[in-house]
Amino acid sequence: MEFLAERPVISLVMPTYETDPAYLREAIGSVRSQTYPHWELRIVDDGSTSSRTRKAIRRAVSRDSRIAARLLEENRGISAATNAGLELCNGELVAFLDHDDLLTQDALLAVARAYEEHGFDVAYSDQDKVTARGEITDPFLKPDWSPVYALGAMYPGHLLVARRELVQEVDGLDGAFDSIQDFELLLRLSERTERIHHIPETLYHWRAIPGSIALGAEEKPGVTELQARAVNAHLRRHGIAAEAAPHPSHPHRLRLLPLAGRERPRVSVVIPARGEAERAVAVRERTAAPEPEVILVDAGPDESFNPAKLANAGARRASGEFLAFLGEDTEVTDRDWLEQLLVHLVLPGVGAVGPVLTDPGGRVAAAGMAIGLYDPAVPVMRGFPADADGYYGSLACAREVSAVGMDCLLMRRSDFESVGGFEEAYSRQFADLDLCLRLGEQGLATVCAPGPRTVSHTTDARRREDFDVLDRALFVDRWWERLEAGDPYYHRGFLGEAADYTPSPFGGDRLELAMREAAR
Amino acid sequence: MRVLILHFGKLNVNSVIQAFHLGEEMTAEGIEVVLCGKGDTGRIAAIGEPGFETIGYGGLDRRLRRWSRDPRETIICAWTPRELVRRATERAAAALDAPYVVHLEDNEEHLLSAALRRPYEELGRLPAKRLDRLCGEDFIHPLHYPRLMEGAAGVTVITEGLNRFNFARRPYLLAPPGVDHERFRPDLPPAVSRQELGLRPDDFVIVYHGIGHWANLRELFSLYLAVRLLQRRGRRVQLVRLGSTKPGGVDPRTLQALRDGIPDVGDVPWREIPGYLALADAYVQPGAPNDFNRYRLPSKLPEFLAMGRPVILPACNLGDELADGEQALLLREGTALEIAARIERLLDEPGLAERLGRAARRFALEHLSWPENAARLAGFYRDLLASHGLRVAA
Repeated sequence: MEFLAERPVISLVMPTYETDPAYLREAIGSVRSQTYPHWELRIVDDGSTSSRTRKAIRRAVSRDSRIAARLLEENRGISAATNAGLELCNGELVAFLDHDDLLTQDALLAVARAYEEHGFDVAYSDQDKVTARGEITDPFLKPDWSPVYALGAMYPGHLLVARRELVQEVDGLDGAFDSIQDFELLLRLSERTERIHHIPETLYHWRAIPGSIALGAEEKPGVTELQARAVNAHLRRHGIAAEAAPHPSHPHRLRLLPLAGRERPRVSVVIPARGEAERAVAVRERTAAPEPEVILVDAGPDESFNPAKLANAGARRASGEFLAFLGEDTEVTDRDWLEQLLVHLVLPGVGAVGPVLTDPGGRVAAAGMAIGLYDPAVPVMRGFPADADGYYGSLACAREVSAVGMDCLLMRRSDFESVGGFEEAYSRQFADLDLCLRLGEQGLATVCAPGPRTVSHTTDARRREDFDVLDRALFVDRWWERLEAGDPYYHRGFLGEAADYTPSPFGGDRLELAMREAAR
Repeated sequence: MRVLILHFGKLNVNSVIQAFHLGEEMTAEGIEVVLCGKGDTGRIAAIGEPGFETIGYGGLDRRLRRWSRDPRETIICAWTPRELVRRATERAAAALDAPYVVHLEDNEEHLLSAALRRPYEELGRLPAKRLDRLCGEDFIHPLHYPRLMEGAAGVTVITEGLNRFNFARRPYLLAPPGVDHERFRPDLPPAVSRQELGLRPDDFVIVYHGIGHWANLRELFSLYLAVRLLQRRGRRVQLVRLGSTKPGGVDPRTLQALRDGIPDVGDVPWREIPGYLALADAYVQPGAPNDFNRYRLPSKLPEFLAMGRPVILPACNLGDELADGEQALLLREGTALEIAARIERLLDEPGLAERLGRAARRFALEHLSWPENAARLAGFYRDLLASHGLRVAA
């Protein structure tokens, strides 16, 4: 505490409705026991008929001068109640707390500290769930701000904090989106600011009881449709030529589809190869009209195979506005594969897109790559069924990743040229990951999309043949500080070895992790 | 005058080389020098036979009790503000009523931050008990070290930049390492033949000595990789490594793969180092001009320069005083690709290596001298003692 130069007042807004007094007391108690004292709690009861709820509120107000309440006579819905609460707030920051959820004891201190260090406009933390019996379950360790992922999954969740002024500017919550109102607010806030910060600590316990989405996606019907409406409104406000549609298999997940009737821009497909590369070259026939330009760059019998050099040579010959790099063993079967990738490339701030890559048996070969100093590049979710949801939609939804491989990678030609193409000092591997990180340095994200269906026929023998430890070392050397900082899209609270979202025994305690890694 | 040097390490670590030479020179001037270090005092034999006394921390308190019964004008040199040294310094200063000087040779805040991989400011916010556990005795303690700096009579720094940590603006002296020009000279015969190390006569040999650990592993990694990349390009470049390397944090398989095929002589006593350096065609001190290198001056750099071979080093510190392309080749980024490019320049530019080697030796002779450094240091100590005496008398 004493190290904080700024000590902003944090206003917590808590709408209540027919709340079980026991849960309500617990929720309020979690606020009152905060180690950070500069808060105010604004409770708005949304016309509860239960006198016990209102009595519990009145008692809380009488016990702590930092708590104020407004009791609405009729039920107006959660957004209206929250907006009424916002009117009572004086803090520089506002945070949203549901009536039966709990804050961790240092939650507001962590918020104040992050606010001082990062000066955010909006922040969200990691979260877990608390059962009716008080058991803590289902930790959700989130990635850093991932606007593309947020289009597919309402991942930011709790604890959501924003500068109060900004919330006022967007007129608070929208009652048309009750039940996903805070997610919809975040979408609108994200249209005003890029300063959205992830606090990589669990600050919030979400109550999982019957009737709460925390217990299961089907607890509240119609949520996915509402989610799609919110995202589509957001896309329209951005002028993005895409439509979000509910995922056919997974609730609360959306997929982005291209708007019908749009003409595809000219794409050149570049395939560095050691010979014919028949599967990859077949894209010419398998791709829906117009036929893309396909450039096969053959290493030739006398030259060593350097994919970076060949891909650069192919890109120089290409005439397309977009470049799609395909591996020699890659098979793309969907006729609209380019459209499926392009729809993500038109999103603001996206520089490269690659699909979830599968093996011929339908298992994930890589859903993007996770990076780290100890494990420099690990394929995410390898071995998982490709049609699974993944970790909170990590397979079902498009999302930001640190890098994707050259097996299938689409980008604008202008971006490719502005970062200088692939680094040719790599002999076989890592030039693709290096390129993605260089795009990242220019503020351009790399996205792993759930589709098109893309199969890598690379055999283990070929993989072993292509492994080059100097390439791996060169990647580490060029990106050491970046790798040391950890993967922004793969939480440090997970073990890095397999990138399968297995929590590490130290949770999110980065200091303990650093000590452990240093000891390794 | 008596000088008690409280060193943070074992008495054979690189940093002791400086304490050893300064101790030798001051002893020759009639100053009583006692060097206190960790563990077995006999380790100093790896550097040389000292003409002054060495003691271990286990015997320090006994020595302080003895000296307190036989007071003499004493100044304490806290060789870094690390916890082990800080505690001993505060005890010694109280027991002897003696002033102390803090000697800075590294950006200690950076070292702590790099070891724990968190910003220093963030570490400073941790509870005291957690810091006690994390900092141990080998690092500074963010809550204690400002107090040590505050209480110092003076500060000595091996680079100007380190004076930034002289928070209380105490009198300070720039005390960079010197080099023994006789021990490190261009015409020394190699201690071993190239053949014994598996090197070919036409190999272009780089020799690098010193411990590789978490603080400099990133740089050592770049050096290994640069050599391996050059070998992949068909260049006949080889690295001879002296000293141990401890992997930490970085993927050990990759590091080991880089080290495979690199002749590794292992730990060599410092007094034998010159003979190994004589094998080299060039020396590389890897690294970028960053928060680590800007504040340090490895003692091997003066040794490299005195050997009269071309030196590649970061563009900071001593690198600031050397003309790029005339007295040395400077690294702006410190990456493996950059180091490889500098070595290739030495290989491809006729006469460059020879010119740089001659200029390096000239620079060492003109600017890097132990006797001069020690004389300045003794003068600084005397001035501080004099003003301490005046304060005590007043």
